Amino acid sequence: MFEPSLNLYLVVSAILFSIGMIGVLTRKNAIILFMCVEMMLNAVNLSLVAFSSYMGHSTGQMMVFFVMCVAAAEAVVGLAMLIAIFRNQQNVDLTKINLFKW
Amino acid sequence: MENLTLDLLQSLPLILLLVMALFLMIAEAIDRKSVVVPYIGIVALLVSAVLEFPFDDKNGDMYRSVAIYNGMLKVRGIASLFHVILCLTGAFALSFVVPYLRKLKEFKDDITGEITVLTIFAVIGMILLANANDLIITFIGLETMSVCLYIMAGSLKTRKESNEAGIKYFLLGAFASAFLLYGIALIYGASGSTNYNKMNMALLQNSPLFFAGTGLILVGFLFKISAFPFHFWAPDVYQGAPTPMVGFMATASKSASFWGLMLFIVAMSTVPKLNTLLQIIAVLTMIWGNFMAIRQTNLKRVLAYSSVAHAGYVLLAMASHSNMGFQAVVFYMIAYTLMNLATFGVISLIEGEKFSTNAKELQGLYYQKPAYAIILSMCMLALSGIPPFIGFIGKYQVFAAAIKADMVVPAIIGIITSVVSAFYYLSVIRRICFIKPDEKYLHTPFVADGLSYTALGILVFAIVVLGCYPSPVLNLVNKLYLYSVAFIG
Repeated sequence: MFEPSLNLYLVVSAILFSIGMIGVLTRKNAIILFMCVEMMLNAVNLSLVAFSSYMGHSTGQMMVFFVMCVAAAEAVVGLAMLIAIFRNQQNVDLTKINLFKW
Repeated sequence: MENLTLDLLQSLPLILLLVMALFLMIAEAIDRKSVVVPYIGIVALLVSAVLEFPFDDKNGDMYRSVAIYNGMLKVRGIASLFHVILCLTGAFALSFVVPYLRKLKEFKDDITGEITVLTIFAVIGMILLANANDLIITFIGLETMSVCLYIMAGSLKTRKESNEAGIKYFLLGAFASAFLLYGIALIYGASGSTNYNKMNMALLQNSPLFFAGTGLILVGFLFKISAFPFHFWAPDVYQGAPTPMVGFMATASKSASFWGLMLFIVAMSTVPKLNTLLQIIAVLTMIWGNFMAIRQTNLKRVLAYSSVAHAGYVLLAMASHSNMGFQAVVFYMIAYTLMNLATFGVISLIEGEKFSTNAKELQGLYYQKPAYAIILSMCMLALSGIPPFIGFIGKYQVFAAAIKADMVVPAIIGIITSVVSAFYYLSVIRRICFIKPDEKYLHTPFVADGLSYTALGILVFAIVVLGCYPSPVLNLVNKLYLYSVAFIG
């Protein structure tokens, strides 16, 4: 049976991370940006779990729980902020949020 | 079991803060317009600072740092100094925030309670970050701090400026912390542990994972301290966020991140050094920050770029990678915290209901409110590093450490940019003191209340007195550092 090696997991994780990063740098919709950031965090989770199982101790897996909590907290704050912006200007397009230049 | 009791006792000041924050959160939910919540918050922060204060005793027990909770966190020693400074910063920031919010018509006492609770939580995060002995704690501390700061930046939710500051800070901050996290994961993979004491340094020596990981962690930290390639959020956030909260975010979060970064660099000191990289970043940061500040017309943007430049000076001390350099980092951040808290405190009083800190509108402040103008001028002189104030001692320490570590060229560039910086600080003074106010832009500053007057008075007193007589603080930093940071240069 095919056993994926540690490297394979790391490569997948790196690819996911890069996709998220490129997304953040190129997209203009705040919600999509936000999803890309979450994707980056989850890519890291994948490599943490892979390392953890490779080395046979649980530090990495424990860390994943903390990361998930942090991601959830960030999601709450970010979405609340987007709602506040939407109420004030009826869209969440980052090119229109430009009182100060980026 | 005995261990746990001991650990709990030793982290009592931190637990006190946590319990008070939770208690105030509930109290705030029960009575949303409560006026006492912020005051209880300030008292809690002060009590925690006193409890942790490193008083001298015969054996120097308070000076030796101890790792608690299975080596996750450090207390005592230099860690307790960080704890005290961060708690005091929180208390001072709150004493500017509360009167400020109270004077905004659409908010009044609605959000003072929330902001109090958030400040305390942010302080807890900062303490964790500055006292971490494990990369997991570093990450959690940094995120606890950041999430609270995102909310504080965007807390005036009906104002577009505040919204914009909040969302920009949030998106870029979350992006940067993803990098930090990836770096932690890679270092964990390379060394087999996240704990600074248990990492297998031999494995790290030539591992590509380690280099990638360190780079990524640096990105995360450099973002938080707004160093050169990652500083672009600072001016916008500083300009848009409510002023007294900017004071908090500019000082406490920066100090905590610098100290967290310092712990990381000290822990990694046996593996190939980052000095050259840090030097380059420091030089670029100093040049970019100081030269961009000259072009700005808004006082808060000037201060944002000035804080970028200050990050450059501290990075220079960090790059010298010596005991002297790290002590300079600690001392400079204390000086910087005092100066910037006072500056943003007084600006929050000046800007008034119009929320404007444009140069034109501040012009001739001296003719309307001489006291504010004088305090602001003193802060500007202190920030530019002119002798009777504390900024000078900080800069002296930084450049002395850099020259001692044979980094003469970066140090000279630093001194030149620091002279350039005097230009924009002095031009602020010229504008507020020596030009008559423009009738079109006259506006009334807030009338401060007792709390903010007291806080401002203490800060100005500290800036002047510690500038003339810095040895108590310098000695304390020196002693705590030598007792508790295991670093052989």
